[in-house]
Parts: sequence; C-alpha cells; structure tokens
Amino acid sequence: MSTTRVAPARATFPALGTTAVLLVTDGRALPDAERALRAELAAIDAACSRFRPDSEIMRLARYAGRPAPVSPLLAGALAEALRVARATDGLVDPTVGQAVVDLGYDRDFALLDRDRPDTFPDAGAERVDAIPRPAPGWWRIRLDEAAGTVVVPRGVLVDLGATAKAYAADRAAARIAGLGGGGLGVLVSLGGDLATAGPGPAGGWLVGIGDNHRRTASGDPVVTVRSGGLATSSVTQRSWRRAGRTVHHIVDPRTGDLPEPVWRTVSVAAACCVDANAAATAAVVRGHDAPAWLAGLGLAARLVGHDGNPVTVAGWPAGGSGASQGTPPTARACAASRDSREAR
Amino acid sequence: MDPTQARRLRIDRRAAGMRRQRRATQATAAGAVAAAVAFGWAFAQATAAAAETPPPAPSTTDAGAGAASTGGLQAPAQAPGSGAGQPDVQSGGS
Repeated sequence: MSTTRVAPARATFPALGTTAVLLVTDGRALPDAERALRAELAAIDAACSRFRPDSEIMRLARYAGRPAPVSPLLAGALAEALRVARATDGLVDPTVGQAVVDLGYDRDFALLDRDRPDTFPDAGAERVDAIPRPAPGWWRIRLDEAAGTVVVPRGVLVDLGATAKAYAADRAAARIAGLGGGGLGVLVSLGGDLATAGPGPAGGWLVGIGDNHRRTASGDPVVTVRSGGLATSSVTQRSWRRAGRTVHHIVDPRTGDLPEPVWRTVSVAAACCVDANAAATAAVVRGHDAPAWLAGLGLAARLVGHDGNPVTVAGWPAGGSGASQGTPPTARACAASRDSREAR
Repeated sequence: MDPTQARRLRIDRRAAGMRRQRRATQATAAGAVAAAVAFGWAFAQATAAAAETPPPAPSTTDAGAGAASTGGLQAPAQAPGSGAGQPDVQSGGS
C-alpha cells in the first residue's frame, strides 16, 4: 500500500544574510512556527553577527583580554564553536575572524559584492602585513559558561560564521517542534544548512543537493532525510576577487589563506546541523584525506571535486538510486536542541 | 625578514600552539582517568572494610555510563536515503 505524500507547509524569508526556509508538517502551525523562527534568528543576529557593531560578539572587543559577560545564547554559541574546533582538530576555528577580514570579507556579503567587485590594489603580495596570517587559535578563548563570562585575548577577532547559523537552525527546529505539545515535524534551512526535529513527513524530507542552495540544477541528486541535520559547504558561493585572484569564505585556519583546491562542494549528514556544517567545512579545508576522515567518523557525505566528480562515503546514497548503506551508530542529543529546550 | 619567512613563522607558531593544546588535553584526560581509578580504589577499600557482605559490584555498563562525552562530531540516527521528485528544500553553498 502506498501513502500519498503531503507537501509540507512552507515559509521563506531573508535572514542572516541568506534565505531562511521553514517547513512544517501541519500547515495550521505555520504562523506560530514562523514567529518562533523569526524571533530565534533575530536573537542570534543580535548576539553573533560580525557585521553589526552593536552585536554582543562585537562588543567583546572592548574587554580586550578581560572577562566579559555573555548572555546564555552567546555562551551556548561559543561553546558549540569551541567544541567543533576541538572536534575538527582546529580546522573550523572561531578565531579565524581577522584572516577572513584580511581576505576582504569585512562586511555583509551583499554590500561586499556591490562595493568591491574586483581587485584590491592595496593588498600587495610583497608586503609582510598583507600576507595571510593563521588564526590565533581557538584554545586562547576562555569560556566559563557557568559564570557567564568569556575571555578573548586582545587582537583576536571571533567569527562564528561557521557555526552560528547552524546553531540557530538546530535551536529553532527543536523549539518549533515543541509548539503545541509536540508531534509537529519541522525543517529549518538557513542558506541550505538544515536542521530537522519532530516526526518528518512520510518517506522523510526531500532535499536537493547541489552547489547553490537557491536553485536546483538539473541532475542534482535528491536524498531523504529523516532526522538530524544536513549541511553543504561550497567554494562556488560567496567568492570575490582580491589582489588579482578569486577568493572565497572558507579559510584554512592553519594558514589564514584559502585551502588547497580539492573539493568544490561537500554535503554532510550528522546528528545536528552544527556537526554537519562543521564536518562539511572541515572536509573542504582538509582536502585529499577528507573522505577517509568522514568515513572514520561515520558521517554520511558527498564530496564533489573541482572536476565535478562526486565521491560518497559512510552510507550516503551513491548516484541517484539505491537505499542508504548502513546506519551509523547511536546519535546523541544535539547541544543546540538541548539548549533550546532548556531555554523554553 | 621576507614575506615567505614571516608567513612560515606565523604558521609554525600556530602549529606549536596546537601541539601544546593537544598535550594539555591529553594530560588532563590522563589525570582524570588516574583520579577516577584512585577514587574507585579508595572507595572499594572503605566499602570492604565497613561491611562483611559487600554490596554488588557496579556493572561495567554503569561505570561506562558516567564517562564524559568526547564532544566529537556525531552521526545521525539514520543516514540519508535515496530520494526522487521535487525536493522540499535545497542544500547547497550559501
């Protein structure tokens, strides 16, 4: 007997410099769900945005090496950023902020694109102060969640760009799934990094996989996602020109420069969106040994090389057919989901 | 110092910091294990002395359940499956 699939109810709006997509399995819950998502994203933006001088994270610079008070929301986001920094052996590092700025990404990307479409003649490669600088290192941030304080050394620019959106997606999905006593299936996508919570639609959420989250290209594979998070990192988006070369937003913290061009786009499924996003970004930075690293962690992934050839690992469905190969071991509760439940 | 040397120096400095951090993490973990063993041994001695009939020993499962999470990246409960048709949403670079 086959079950007719009912398309989920949908809301789409711009947020956090990208597109937010909200899907719920019960259309009656959509207005409340959208209100909850907008509130969550506004709170994350006020706490974590690198492009708002009044954001909480930008105000940390005033403390210059002294303990700074942080809200529970920012403390949670910082804790997640430090956790994934450790888990990726420093390949996803929140102290990469200055390196990203040095590459020219110093304002909201929409403004950057319009204001500086071409080269940066002031960034001469022969100047010592213009060469890429490695990230100072995540271990230099001292977070005391219990006390609600953080110490960021002078000169360290914290950038939660690699984790804050995913953290917001996880928190929002968990919060919305709890509306009305549970039973609601939710998917929150922020720029193509998505988190799910609650019971999904029959057969799971259908997710197209490609270079660009804004549109589906012909031939893009479609996968079903029943739980957890899925994220894609790609060097084909958010790229610009600097000093005569094309650069993008994924930086190798070890060098402060672009990673070796091995992978164009990496998609990873994990227990939550934060883990999926961190693994996808780390895989781009890691380069040739990324498939073995992902397989060792049991993280189902699809990596597309610059030649366009895809590689799949750890049960990601190869090509466009066939069932998934194997089920990874026990998932833990996602930290962001836990934080969101505790905050309610 | 030329730009190449300066860059190399900065990269080496970060790599050294990473190594120090790894050593500190390993030392902390080893210390925690040693402390757990020492406390466990001391507790077992005290319990044995206080009662003629010792209580049942905790199972290895119970002992393992108290272990701290490694905080590593976690796999989903179920890997993605193959899908077909119009997707609900697209995952891609942003």
